[in-house]
Amino acid sequence: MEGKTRVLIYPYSRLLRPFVVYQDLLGHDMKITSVVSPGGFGLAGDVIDSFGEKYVVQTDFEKEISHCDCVWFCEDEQHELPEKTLRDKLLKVLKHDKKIIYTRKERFDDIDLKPYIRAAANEKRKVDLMFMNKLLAIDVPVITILGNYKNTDQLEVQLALNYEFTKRGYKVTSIVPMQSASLLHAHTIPESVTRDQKNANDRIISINHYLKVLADDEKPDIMMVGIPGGIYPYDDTACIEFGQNIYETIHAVKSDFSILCSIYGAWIEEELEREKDLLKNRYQLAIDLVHLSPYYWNKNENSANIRRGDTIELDDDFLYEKVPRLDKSDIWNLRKYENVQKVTDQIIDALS
Amino acid sequence: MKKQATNELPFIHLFETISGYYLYDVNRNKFIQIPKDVYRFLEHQQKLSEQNPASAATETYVNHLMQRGFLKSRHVEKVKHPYTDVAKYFLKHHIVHLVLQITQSCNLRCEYCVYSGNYRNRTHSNKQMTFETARRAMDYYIAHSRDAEQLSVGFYGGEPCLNYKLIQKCVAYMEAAAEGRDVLYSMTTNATLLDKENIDFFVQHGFHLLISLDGPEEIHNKHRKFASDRAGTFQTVLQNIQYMKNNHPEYCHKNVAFNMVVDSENGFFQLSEFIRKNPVISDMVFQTNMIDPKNTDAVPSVNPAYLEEMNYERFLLFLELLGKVPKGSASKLLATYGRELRRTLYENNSLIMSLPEEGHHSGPCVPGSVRLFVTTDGLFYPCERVSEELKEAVIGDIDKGIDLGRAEDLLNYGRQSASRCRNCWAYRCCDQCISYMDEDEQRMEKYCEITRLNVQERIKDACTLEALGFDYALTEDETE
Repeated sequence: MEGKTRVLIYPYSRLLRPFVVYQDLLGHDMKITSVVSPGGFGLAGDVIDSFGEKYVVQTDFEKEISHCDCVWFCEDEQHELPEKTLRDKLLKVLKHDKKIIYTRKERFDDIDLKPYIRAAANEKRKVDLMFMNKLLAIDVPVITILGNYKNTDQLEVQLALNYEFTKRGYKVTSIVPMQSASLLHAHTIPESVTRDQKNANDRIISINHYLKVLADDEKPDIMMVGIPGGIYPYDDTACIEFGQNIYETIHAVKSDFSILCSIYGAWIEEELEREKDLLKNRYQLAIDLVHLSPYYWNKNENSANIRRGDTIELDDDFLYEKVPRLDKSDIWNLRKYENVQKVTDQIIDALS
Repeated sequence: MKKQATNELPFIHLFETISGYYLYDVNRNKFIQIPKDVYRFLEHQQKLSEQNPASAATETYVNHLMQRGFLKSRHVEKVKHPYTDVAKYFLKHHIVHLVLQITQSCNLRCEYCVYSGNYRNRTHSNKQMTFETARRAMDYYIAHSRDAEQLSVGFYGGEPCLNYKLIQKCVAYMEAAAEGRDVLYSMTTNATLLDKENIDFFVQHGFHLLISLDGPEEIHNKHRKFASDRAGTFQTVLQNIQYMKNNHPEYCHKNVAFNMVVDSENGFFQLSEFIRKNPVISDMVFQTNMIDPKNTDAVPSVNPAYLEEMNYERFLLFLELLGKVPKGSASKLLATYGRELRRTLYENNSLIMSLPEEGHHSGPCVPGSVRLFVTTDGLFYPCERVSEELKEAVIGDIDKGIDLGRAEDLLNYGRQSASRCRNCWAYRCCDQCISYMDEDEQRMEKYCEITRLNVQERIKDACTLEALGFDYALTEDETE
């Protein structure tokens, strides 16, 4: 702990849980010491276990700030924070003369954040499409991680495997669909790689070249690619990007091992088979294993009980009761570290 | 001719409209138009529980329907609400709306009000909620709503404005305690106590106001009277709305709606014309309720003119939905019905494979999750529509929180009426919930009959609309 920067993470939501659990990926000079969530999120008192170290979610920002050196304002696409709340917290940090890591999308041009953000190496990387309008071979084993809806723990699974492979001495290059990834020595495909391309063909080639440049630069043992968005639209309103990201990424890079992160629903077992078939037939993507997240979704209902988009947090006991094959064959609960270890063994076997 | 047991017959409901012959297939949750011969064949089968010889064409048609999964005889075997297993998670993380009964007192004495004394189960009292009770209810709500899209707090009475100071304190508390999330505030009010100060406050905090207004002066004043002198409240209400509209027109347009308790002893046109011609309210949203028939014998009769006039306005609503007359031609009082028709076309007309072995009729919601009603004493009820006198409906309190076992029992309250419900064709369209649970069996059978009649009327109207080319997906419901 001595000599490490003590970090307060804010505004904590469950999406950010893996950042706390796998904070070793932040590097040896930083340590999360406080987890603060806005009171309205209803998370006060939740306990996060990071390898035996317990973090209790707090709501008193002012009190916690005195115990840290730095506040990490972390992005969270699911929870927009009122501008006033965020501004108020930023000013408090400055008043206490603490450092700031800022990885959120909201901008405050009138506030000098004195940023303490680590350089995101990938942001400076350029991909030149001028000379080669073709796919380039990427000679690194690639693990792809995709999700079928929101709250599928995709980030958690990716960071867990990243952590375990790194711990075992493998060099991992990880592409995470979150700006905050740079803090974890991971990469985010820069917007410029995809935004400026005129069609899917060019985007696919652009992503391929970007990953090729990363692979050549970092020379990893394993490349891990997190794919945002869903697999296919569940209905006219839950389009979840039509599976377009999977289509483009899977054509940009061959996946050697694929993990599908899934939400829970009463329909889950038959739905997973259907989704696996679809991925195989549509993208030639074979799913090697599934992670089941403890979130409930009723894709068929939109009523007073539950809006179609809502998901509801469950607990492990419920999942084990409802899905007896969980942790026994191809469906795993990768929130458990012992399962992360087992799955890592399985991946190594499969890729060796 | 083979006699069929009732439970072997197709689980369907047959009905005719001006546009043709229909069946509603309960298993597939779909209504479809069928040829007259097929209708007659199925009708005979349903009535006499026996097969009539069918023509080749009818037989082919029926076989075709069966191949597509229609005409199954499957019924739910065991009453178990589909949310039974996950209800505890709904109650742990997904309480959608908190309703605080901040006072039981009211400055009016409306004859049909459930607290008026005309009902067997509720009366007004002078009980007020304390801030401590409200604070604990709000803390409980915040801690149990992390998966709800947004926080939503409603103030309910009696007349909530009688405890305005508490409303202010609650809002100030929520603003601090619920940091990071938007809070939607709402209040049901008789509008007699609105003044500059509280209106400014409601506007500032974006309150959604639901104001009770029953029609023109003579109709409104018939039921809605001040407690002090039994004088009618109409003029006071209208003046306050006028003030609010003059000073906050945009707010009124977006945040204020009216609830009209319809007394069917009056004419329907009288009510519609009142709204159409009164510039203060003509551009605002109305919803309607009939006088609550539960737990009272004081239900008004129905004036034949009321029905005739309402049917004419429904006809106008059809024309409006079909784009044959300009928007706004139909009575605003039918906005609720228009919404129901859309819902019918969407919810009761979407293909589902078949009824499950375990299930529950569509009425009840997860008690305490959709709405958590907290009384002045800090008792938890599933909803403000449930009588506070009904001790079986208490699902917890601010000390112990929600009793999950009790909530699960109430969610499955259809166990009481399992035999009646399992053979009811309106199984998937039923809106009966625990607010009916203190009624006796005889009255319940009557409600069931009314429910089936209402559902049938709605489905018939929806079918007619669809046959005339109405596509709910291509039109917007401007009242939502």
